[in-house]
Amino acid sequence: MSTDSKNEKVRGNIEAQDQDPIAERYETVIGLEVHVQLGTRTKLFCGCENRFGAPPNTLTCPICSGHPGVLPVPNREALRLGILAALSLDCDLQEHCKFDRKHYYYPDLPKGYQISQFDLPFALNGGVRLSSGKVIGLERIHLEEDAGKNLHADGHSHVDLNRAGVPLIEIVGMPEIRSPEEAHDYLESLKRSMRYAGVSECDMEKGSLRCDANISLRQHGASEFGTKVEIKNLNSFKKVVAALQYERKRQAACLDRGEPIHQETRLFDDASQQTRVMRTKEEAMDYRFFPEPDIPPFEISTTEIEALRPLLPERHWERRARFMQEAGLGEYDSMVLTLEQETADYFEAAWKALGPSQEEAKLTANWVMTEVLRLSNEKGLPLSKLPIDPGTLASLCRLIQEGKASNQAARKVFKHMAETGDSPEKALEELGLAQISDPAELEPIVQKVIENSKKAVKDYFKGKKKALDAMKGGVMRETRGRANPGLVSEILLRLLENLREK
Amino acid sequence: MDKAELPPIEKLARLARLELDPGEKERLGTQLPRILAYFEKLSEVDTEGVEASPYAMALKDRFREDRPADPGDGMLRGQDLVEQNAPAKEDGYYLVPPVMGGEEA
Amino acid sequence: MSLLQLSASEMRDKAASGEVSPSELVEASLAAIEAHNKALGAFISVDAEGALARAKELEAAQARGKEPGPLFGVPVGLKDNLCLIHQPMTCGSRILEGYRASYTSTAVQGLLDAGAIPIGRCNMDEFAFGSSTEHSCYGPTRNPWDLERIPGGSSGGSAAAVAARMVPLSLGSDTGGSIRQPAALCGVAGLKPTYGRVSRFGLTAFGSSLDQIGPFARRARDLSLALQAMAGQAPRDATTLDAAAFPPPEPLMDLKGLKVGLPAEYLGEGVHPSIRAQIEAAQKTLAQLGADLIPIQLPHTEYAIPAYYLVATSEASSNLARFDGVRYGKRQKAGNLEDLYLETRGKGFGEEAKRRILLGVFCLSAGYIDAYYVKALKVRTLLRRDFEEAFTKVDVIIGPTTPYPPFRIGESEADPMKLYLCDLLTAPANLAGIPGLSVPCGLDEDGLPVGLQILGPALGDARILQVAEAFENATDFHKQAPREVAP
Repeated sequence: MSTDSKNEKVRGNIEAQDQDPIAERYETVIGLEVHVQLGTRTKLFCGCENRFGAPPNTLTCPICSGHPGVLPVPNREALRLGILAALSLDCDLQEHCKFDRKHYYYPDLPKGYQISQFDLPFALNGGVRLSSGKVIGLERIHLEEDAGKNLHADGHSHVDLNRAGVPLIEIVGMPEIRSPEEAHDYLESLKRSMRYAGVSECDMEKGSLRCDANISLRQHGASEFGTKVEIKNLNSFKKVVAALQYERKRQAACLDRGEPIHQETRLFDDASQQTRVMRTKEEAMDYRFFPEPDIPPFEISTTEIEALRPLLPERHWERRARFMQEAGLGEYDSMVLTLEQETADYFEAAWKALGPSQEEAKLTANWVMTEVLRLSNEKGLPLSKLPIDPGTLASLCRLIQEGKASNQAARKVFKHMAETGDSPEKALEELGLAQISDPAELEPIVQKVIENSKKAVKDYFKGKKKALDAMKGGVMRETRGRANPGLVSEILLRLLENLREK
Repeated sequence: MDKAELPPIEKLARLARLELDPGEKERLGTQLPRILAYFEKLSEVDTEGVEASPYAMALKDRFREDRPADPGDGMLRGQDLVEQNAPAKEDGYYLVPPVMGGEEA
Repeated sequence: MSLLQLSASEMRDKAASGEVSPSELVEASLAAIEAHNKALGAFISVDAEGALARAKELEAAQARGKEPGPLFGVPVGLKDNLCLIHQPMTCGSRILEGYRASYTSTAVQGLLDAGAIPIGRCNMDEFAFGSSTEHSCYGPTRNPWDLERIPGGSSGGSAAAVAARMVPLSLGSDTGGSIRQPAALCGVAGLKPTYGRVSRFGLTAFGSSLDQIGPFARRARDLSLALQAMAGQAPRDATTLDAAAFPPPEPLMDLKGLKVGLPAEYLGEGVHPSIRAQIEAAQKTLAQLGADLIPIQLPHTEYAIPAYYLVATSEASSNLARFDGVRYGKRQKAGNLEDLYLETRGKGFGEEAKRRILLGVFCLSAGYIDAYYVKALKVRTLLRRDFEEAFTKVDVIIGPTTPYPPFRIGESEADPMKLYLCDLLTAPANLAGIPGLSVPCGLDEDGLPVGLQILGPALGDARILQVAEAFENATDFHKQAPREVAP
């Protein structure tokens, strides 16, 4: 995603206004269940690689392929990442946990059951903070294995088990979201928390973050929830919003007509942007959960939790608030700078290197949000791998501050540095862009321009202030834009006044 | 324990993904309720306050480290698994009939 | 033939000293299988070529000076639910027709590392569901002592193969008695180790919290050797015990001071009189060896069968969900996915397997799980406490392995419950996870073998093997052989 479209999305998010008349008639109640793949090296129960994009059925072994006689042995790192995720969402880690088997038949589920957690999940409670400050409560987080992929094509299905057994956490939210836009905000915040905690890439295109949504409507002020509908197959934030918007309209229309809402599971169809029935309540699955006898129960100790807690960075919303307060940045800028932890880190490092003031923060923020993010995008490199590190950016900003480079020149210098890796000073030199801030060097040039601008000088003495700009322009032309504009004005005024006195 | 009403044998067989022939349906349909009736014997036991034992032994916290398996550990992997045992395959995938359908056998 | 009268450890010693070669042992075993398997149906398949090739490898290694392992050159039979890479494994089921294992089970690897030679795959009740080895898609195994009778099960092929002197050692699995019961009915020794002693990795799961792999042999010493080769905490099995490793125990000269528990419930009305007589005789033998006989109680024994079948079928219904014809196994033609499952499983599983899957699916289903599965787990806790309580008073517990002599083949067909009750005296040990073994202790009035069951506390495998060896040394029952193969 380009920086621009990311920014646009954030702005749209903040400015989202609900002007839908449905909101006047009904309250929308939404709860999200989010699956996040954990970034372990290996799968949850076997030593196969946890990696996206390999040729089909190449990251598999008898264990994740469900061959007879295999046994699961859980990956400690998956639990560790799960705990970090839970801590970043303020969940209560549970002392006594176990795995359970959840049964259903599908070709991408090799054992005929998924190893998940039923009644003793590893984390309860906690919440996701929206940009408004509202916190959506969480019911639970549990650890489970992913299924493979079943691809449908020309009268057959193809089964790829590379993903089977990849560790997932399922984050079950409370039905406290009140609009599709809030749902979007929830997902953005959750994704940011997961990325900050370092537990997952949360790349929806790679399927490392997936979402099911429950939605119902009710009269304002009603204490009971309406009948809820579950929507599956939502593999982008955009689809979540579109599906919820569609479903909200559909349910409102039903209720307006006095028709009941059926408790069912629906699928979002991308082509029509509509949801359709997948299965009704009568067909609801009986998963036959029971404790996984192949894996002994496990405990999460306070010692373990306290050892992990310091590894978590400042939360994204805390950092955003701090950027607004300490750095004096606006809400939008703070949001963009905290979208990714590494952007925030980069900004903060460059700012600290430049100086402590809010002025300096703003100058740095502008550069990070424009040139730095653009460069990262163009090069396809993370900020940490850019040829221009935060210290170098600070040096460049200092040149601007000290009047040694104009903004325009600095942008050229930035590009040059990105290609050559030169220091700002050297780049400035090499490009011949160093600003002329030496009065001794500038005065003869200004003198020459005055001599060649008889008419302008006359106009100036007649009181036409614009004539001054023309002469300034002349100096800039002579110096190919390198003259320090403030200094030029100063010298020009002094020489002209000298002339008037004569 | 409440006396349980066994659901129709057809429903149970469907849940278990088992096609039964008429003879099996009849035999299992009469045997299963009798076997369950015998299992009801457990209702004589007072288990108030007794913990359930889903595990054989009192073990806990058995994890492995996040290390890739040793490729030389003697297990078949990846496409070798598909090659050796897949009943139907195509382009490295396991091939199965469509979820819906039935036009082709 | 005479080579096969040797015990596994005797064979090993002769092979290690060069008195016989592994090839000769393999050939003797193959000849015996050739001679008797048609009548017995003990082996489903025999890998003559592979066994001979392995014998040659062992000989070559020996010639290079490699120290012979503790089972060097010993031909072994493997129950057909244990994985050995590239080899067929059917579990006695049509649904695994054509399947070839993708890895080697930890237990079998242990035997291989000790120098044993897998000779073939032993018949079994389909997926180990049964106590008679009649429920195999390859036909029944017959009892070497009476071909009209069942050998017990589900590891009937492994027991019959040792009883008929086809191999001195074989592996089985025991979920509710599937090693001890056929060992008793075929007149050989069979051990179910403590749960978690031998890794289950590579054993096709039946009841995951009950299953254990164990050996059959004619001598207790051979059981120890086999257990030593297989036991150990295993990284691929999270349910193996830290103290799983098993050094074979020293033989005991006598049993002075040993406290032997005699549970009243194990010699109740249900036990056949001629079996009772042999067990009472065995008690006297133990007393003569110096053991103190102490009456004890295991009050929840009568609930063991329903508790066991509820737990076992629930777990089995889950464990067998993977057999769907998608990745392996015999697939039936179908036009859509639903039919693929129904047809593949419907035609692939036999009736007993279906019976148990259906029971398990029901017991785990919403609304019933608490009344059945969870209730059974609570009763299991009580059964376990019975044993814990008993083992504060005694060192081992003895009783009959089976309540009655082997049925005639086909006798239990109409009434599955009749067969389920065979597990009455063996299933409690599986529910409690404790070790148990069966050793021959005489013949009943029809000349059929009777088994003495010896149970110990968790990780008390060495103790019960010592008692069994002392009992063997004091008696001649282990020398008894079915007529056709008698020396």
